[in-house]
Amino acid sequence: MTFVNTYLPFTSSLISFIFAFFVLKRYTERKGNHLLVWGIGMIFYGIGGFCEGYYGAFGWNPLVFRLWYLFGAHLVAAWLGQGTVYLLAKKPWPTITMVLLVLGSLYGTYRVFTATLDPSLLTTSLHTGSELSGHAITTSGVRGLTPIFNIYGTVTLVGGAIWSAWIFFRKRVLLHRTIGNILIAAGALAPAFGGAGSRFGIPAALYIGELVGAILMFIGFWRATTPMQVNQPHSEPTAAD
Amino acid sequence: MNDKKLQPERKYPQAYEKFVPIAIGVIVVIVVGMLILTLGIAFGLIQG
Repeated sequence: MTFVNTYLPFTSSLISFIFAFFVLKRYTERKGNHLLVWGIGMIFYGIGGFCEGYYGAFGWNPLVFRLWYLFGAHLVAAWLGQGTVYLLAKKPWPTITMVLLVLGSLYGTYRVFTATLDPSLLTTSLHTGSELSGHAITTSGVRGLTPIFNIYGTVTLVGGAIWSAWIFFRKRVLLHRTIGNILIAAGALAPAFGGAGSRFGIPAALYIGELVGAILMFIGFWRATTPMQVNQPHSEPTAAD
Repeated sequence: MNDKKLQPERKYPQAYEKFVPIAIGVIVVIVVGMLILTLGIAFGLIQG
């Protein structure tokens, strides 16, 4: 048990659950399916972090591993991205993609919970076994599903945030939303960087990436939903002057 | 009074005028790079 593989993911988990609380609170006040789906996505983020911390503190547990792989590795990005689809895409695309995501999530749940596991494989490849990784899954075809969910999630979440930031920037309006969306995009990329670092054998890269991601997305959400006190943007003199 | 108004050219504060497009550009490059890497690995074009 080390600080990095226990307290770091527990901290990510705590931040994610607090973040989810604020998102869902906003949903109860304002409605909007995007807030509900983002809130669910952040709960998944929190479950993933909790399972990582549990593994660091108490060691291997097949149920905890399956929960981690399902929520933390498999579903979280796609559900967060789906929230952005609800926010930005025109009907009927949010409904169509949501149906596909729910069906895919159910199928993924079935595959993850029926997969055979071998915890000794956590130390294969470049992994030291101190962090959770999908190597413990020995059933073929389960890990292959994950990139599909993650590509969808990354493209929609990061792409949507960057698109929004660009639109606000182009019109030079709502600076707080421009900054908030940039932070959300950067935060969404951080776990992907962490995952890549982990793949190349950098210790703790994944957990650090997840913590940075949770913090940046939380700050980004807060920034995007809290107008800034900015000096009136200076305008060129008009002909009326 | 001249009622022919020109469109006001709004600006963000100076620092954000520079920071925002750079940040957006960097993130777009990273996303595209990661997608190429991921798809390359998935299709066996790049050693994973």
